[in-house]
Amino acid sequence: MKQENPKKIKSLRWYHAAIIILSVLGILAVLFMDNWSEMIGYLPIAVAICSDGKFEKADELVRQNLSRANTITMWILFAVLCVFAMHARFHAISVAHILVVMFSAFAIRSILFIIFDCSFDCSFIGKEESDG
Amino acid sequence: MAKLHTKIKEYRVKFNMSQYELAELADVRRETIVRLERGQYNPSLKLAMDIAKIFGTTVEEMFSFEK
Repeated sequence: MKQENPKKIKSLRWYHAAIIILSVLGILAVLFMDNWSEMIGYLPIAVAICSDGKFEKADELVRQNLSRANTITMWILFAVLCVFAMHARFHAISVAHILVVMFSAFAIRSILFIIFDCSFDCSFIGKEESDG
Repeated sequence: MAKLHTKIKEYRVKFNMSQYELAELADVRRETIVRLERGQYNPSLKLAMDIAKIFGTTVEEMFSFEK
Protein backbone atom coordinates (compact mmCIF):
# COMPACT_ATOMS: atom_id res chain seq x y z
CA MET A 1 0.00 0.00 0.00
CA LYS A 2 1.26 3.42 -0.89
CA GLN A 3 1.83 6.07 1.73
CA GLU A 4 -0.62 8.91 1.91
CA ASN A 5 0.57 11.93 -0.01
CA PRO A 6 -1.49 15.14 0.16
CA LYS A 7 0.66 16.70 -2.60
CA LYS A 8 -2.26 17.56 -4.88
CA ILE A 9 -4.17 19.40 -2.16
CA LYS A 10 -1.13 21.35 -1.11
CA SER A 11 -0.07 22.18 -4.66
CA LEU A 12 -3.51 23.49 -5.52
CA ARG A 13 -3.61 25.70 -2.42
CA TRP A 14 -0.05 26.87 -3.05
CA TYR A 15 -1.05 27.67 -6.61
CA HIS A 16 -3.89 29.89 -5.42
CA ALA A 17 -1.71 31.38 -2.70
CA ALA A 18 0.79 32.29 -5.43
CA ILE A 19 -1.97 33.95 -7.45
CA ILE A 20 -2.96 36.01 -4.39
CA ILE A 21 0.66 37.13 -3.88
CA LEU A 22 1.12 37.95 -7.59
CA SER A 23 -2.14 39.90 -7.62
CA VAL A 24 -1.21 41.88 -4.53
CA LEU A 25 2.21 42.60 -6.07
CA GLY A 26 0.43 43.72 -9.23
CA ILE A 27 -1.81 46.08 -7.25
CA LEU A 28 1.20 47.49 -5.37
CA ALA A 29 3.08 47.94 -8.64
CA VAL A 30 0.18 49.85 -10.19
CA LEU A 31 -0.31 52.00 -7.09
CA PHE A 32 3.27 52.76 -6.15
CA MET A 33 5.51 52.36 -9.19
CA ASP A 34 6.04 55.33 -11.45
CA ASN A 35 6.51 53.35 -14.63
CA TRP A 36 3.90 50.75 -13.90
CA SER A 37 2.54 51.10 -17.41
CA GLU A 38 5.60 49.21 -18.68
CA MET A 39 4.33 46.20 -16.78
CA ILE A 40 1.25 45.97 -18.97
CA GLY A 41 3.37 43.90 -21.36
CA TYR A 42 3.46 41.16 -18.73
CA LEU A 43 -0.27 41.26 -18.14
CA PRO A 44 -1.20 38.59 -20.71
CA ILE A 45 1.25 36.23 -18.99
CA ALA A 46 -0.40 36.85 -15.62
CA VAL A 47 -3.85 36.34 -17.12
CA ALA A 48 -2.71 33.11 -18.79
CA ILE A 49 -1.31 31.81 -15.50
CA CYS A 50 -4.41 32.73 -13.55
CA SER A 51 -6.86 31.28 -16.02
CA ASP A 52 -4.91 28.09 -16.68
CA GLY A 53 -7.74 25.65 -16.25
CA LYS A 54 -6.19 22.24 -16.70
CA PHE A 55 -4.54 22.32 -13.29
CA GLU A 56 -7.81 23.20 -11.63
CA LYS A 57 -10.33 21.04 -13.44
CA ALA A 58 -9.11 17.65 -12.31
CA ASP A 59 -11.46 17.29 -9.38
CA GLU A 60 -15.20 17.93 -9.31
CA LEU A 61 -15.07 19.33 -5.77
CA VAL A 62 -12.45 21.81 -6.98
CA ARG A 63 -14.67 22.72 -9.91
CA GLN A 64 -17.59 23.25 -7.56
CA ASN A 65 -15.56 25.45 -5.22
CA LEU A 66 -14.12 27.41 -8.15
CA SER A 67 -17.56 27.87 -9.59
CA ARG A 68 -18.79 29.36 -6.31
CA ALA A 69 -15.68 31.56 -6.09
CA ASN A 70 -16.13 32.70 -9.70
CA THR A 71 -19.79 33.59 -9.16
CA ILE A 72 -19.08 35.66 -6.06
CA THR A 73 -16.09 37.35 -7.74
CA MET A 74 -18.22 38.19 -10.76
CA TRP A 75 -20.85 39.91 -8.60
CA ILE A 76 -18.17 41.77 -6.66
CA LEU A 77 -16.63 42.91 -9.96
CA PHE A 78 -20.02 44.01 -11.21
CA ALA A 79 -20.70 45.98 -8.03
CA VAL A 80 -17.26 47.61 -8.08
CA LEU A 81 -17.58 48.63 -11.71
CA CYS A 82 -21.03 50.08 -10.99
CA VAL A 83 -19.58 52.12 -8.13
CA PHE A 84 -16.72 53.29 -10.35
CA ALA A 85 -19.13 54.22 -13.12
CA MET A 86 -21.32 56.20 -10.72
CA HIS A 87 -18.33 57.96 -9.16
CA ALA A 88 -16.92 58.83 -12.56
CA ARG A 89 -20.42 59.87 -13.67
CA PHE A 90 -20.18 57.43 -16.54
CA HIS A 91 -16.98 58.92 -17.89
CA ALA A 92 -13.96 56.85 -18.72
CA ILE A 93 -12.36 54.82 -15.96
CA SER A 94 -8.58 55.05 -15.75
CA VAL A 95 -6.39 52.13 -16.71
CA ALA A 96 -4.92 52.08 -13.20
CA HIS A 97 -8.38 51.57 -11.71
CA ILE A 98 -9.14 48.76 -14.13
CA LEU A 99 -5.82 47.05 -13.38
CA VAL A 100 -6.34 47.29 -9.63
CA VAL A 101 -9.85 45.87 -9.95
CA MET A 102 -8.61 43.07 -12.20
CA PHE A 103 -5.78 42.05 -9.89
CA SER A 104 -8.15 42.30 -6.94
CA ALA A 105 -10.59 40.02 -8.72
CA PHE A 106 -7.87 37.38 -9.22
CA ALA A 107 -6.88 37.68 -5.57
CA ILE A 108 -10.48 37.51 -4.32
CA ARG A 109 -11.19 34.47 -6.50
CA SER A 110 -8.20 32.61 -5.09
CA ILE A 111 -8.94 33.67 -1.51
CA LEU A 112 -12.53 32.47 -1.86
CA PHE A 113 -11.36 29.21 -3.37
CA ILE A 114 -8.99 28.56 -0.47
CA ILE A 115 -11.75 29.45 2.02
CA PHE A 116 -14.21 27.04 0.36
CA ASP A 117 -11.53 24.39 0.05
CA CYS A 118 -10.67 24.67 3.74
CA SER A 119 -14.29 24.87 4.86
CA PHE A 120 -16.07 22.30 7.02
CA ASP A 121 -13.06 21.12 8.98
CA CYS A 122 -9.72 22.39 7.81
CA SER A 123 -7.74 20.65 10.55
CA PHE A 124 -9.00 17.32 9.32
CA ILE A 125 -7.52 17.77 5.88
CA GLY A 126 -4.01 16.54 5.52
CA LYS A 127 -4.39 13.70 7.99
CA GLU A 128 -5.48 10.26 7.00
CA GLU A 129 -8.63 9.39 8.86
CA SER A 130 -8.17 6.37 11.06
CA ASP A 131 -10.01 3.35 9.83
CA GLY A 132 -11.09 2.28 13.30
CA MET B 1 -33.04 17.70 3.54
CA ALA B 2 -31.94 14.10 3.09
CA LYS B 3 -28.38 13.40 4.19
CA LEU B 4 -26.05 11.38 2.03
CA HIS B 5 -24.88 8.14 3.58
CA THR B 6 -22.04 6.24 1.93
CA LYS B 7 -20.41 2.88 2.52
CA ILE B 8 -17.12 4.06 1.03
CA LYS B 9 -15.25 3.74 4.30
CA GLU B 10 -16.60 0.26 4.94
CA TYR B 11 -15.55 -0.91 1.50
CA ARG B 12 -12.23 0.86 1.72
CA VAL B 13 -11.41 -0.90 4.97
CA LYS B 14 -12.62 -4.19 3.49
CA PHE B 15 -10.32 -3.72 0.50
CA ASN B 16 -7.49 -2.51 2.76
CA MET B 17 -7.24 0.69 0.75
CA SER B 18 -6.18 4.13 1.94
CA GLN B 19 -8.07 7.30 1.14
CA TYR B 20 -5.18 8.40 -1.02
CA GLU B 21 -5.21 5.20 -3.05
CA LEU B 22 -8.95 5.43 -3.60
CA ALA B 23 -8.56 9.07 -4.60
CA GLU B 24 -5.88 8.10 -7.12
CA LEU B 25 -8.07 5.37 -8.60
CA ALA B 26 -11.11 7.64 -8.81
CA ASP B 27 -8.98 10.50 -10.18
CA VAL B 28 -9.99 12.94 -7.49
CA ARG B 29 -8.23 14.55 -4.56
CA ARG B 30 -8.13 12.76 -1.23
CA GLU B 31 -10.06 15.65 0.23
CA THR B 32 -13.03 14.72 -1.96
CA ILE B 33 -12.94 11.17 -0.59
CA VAL B 34 -12.75 12.55 2.96
CA ARG B 35 -15.85 14.66 2.42
CA LEU B 36 -17.69 11.87 0.68
CA GLU B 37 -17.03 9.53 3.57
CA ARG B 38 -18.35 12.13 5.97
CA GLY B 39 -21.45 12.72 3.86
CA GLN B 40 -20.54 16.37 3.37
CA TYR B 41 -20.52 16.28 -0.38
CA ASN B 42 -22.91 14.89 -2.98
CA PRO B 43 -20.87 13.34 -5.79
CA SER B 44 -21.72 13.50 -9.46
CA LEU B 45 -23.22 10.39 -11.01
CA LYS B 46 -19.92 9.73 -12.80
CA LEU B 47 -17.88 9.84 -9.61
CA ALA B 48 -20.45 7.70 -7.78
CA MET B 49 -20.31 5.12 -10.57
CA ASP B 50 -16.51 5.24 -10.70
CA ILE B 51 -16.25 4.57 -6.97
CA ALA B 52 -18.84 1.80 -7.12
CA LYS B 53 -16.94 0.25 -10.02
CA ILE B 54 -13.64 0.37 -8.10
CA PHE B 55 -15.21 -1.72 -5.34
CA GLY B 56 -17.11 -3.93 -7.76
CA THR B 57 -20.50 -2.94 -6.43
CA THR B 58 -23.46 -0.79 -7.43
CA VAL B 59 -24.19 2.87 -6.81
CA GLU B 60 -27.34 1.92 -4.87
CA GLU B 61 -25.30 -0.28 -2.55
CA MET B 62 -22.63 2.36 -2.05
CA PHE B 63 -24.77 5.48 -1.65
CA SER B 64 -28.08 6.11 0.03
CA PHE B 65 -29.99 9.04 1.48
CA GLU B 66 -31.03 9.14 5.11
CA LYS B 67 -34.41 10.80 5.58
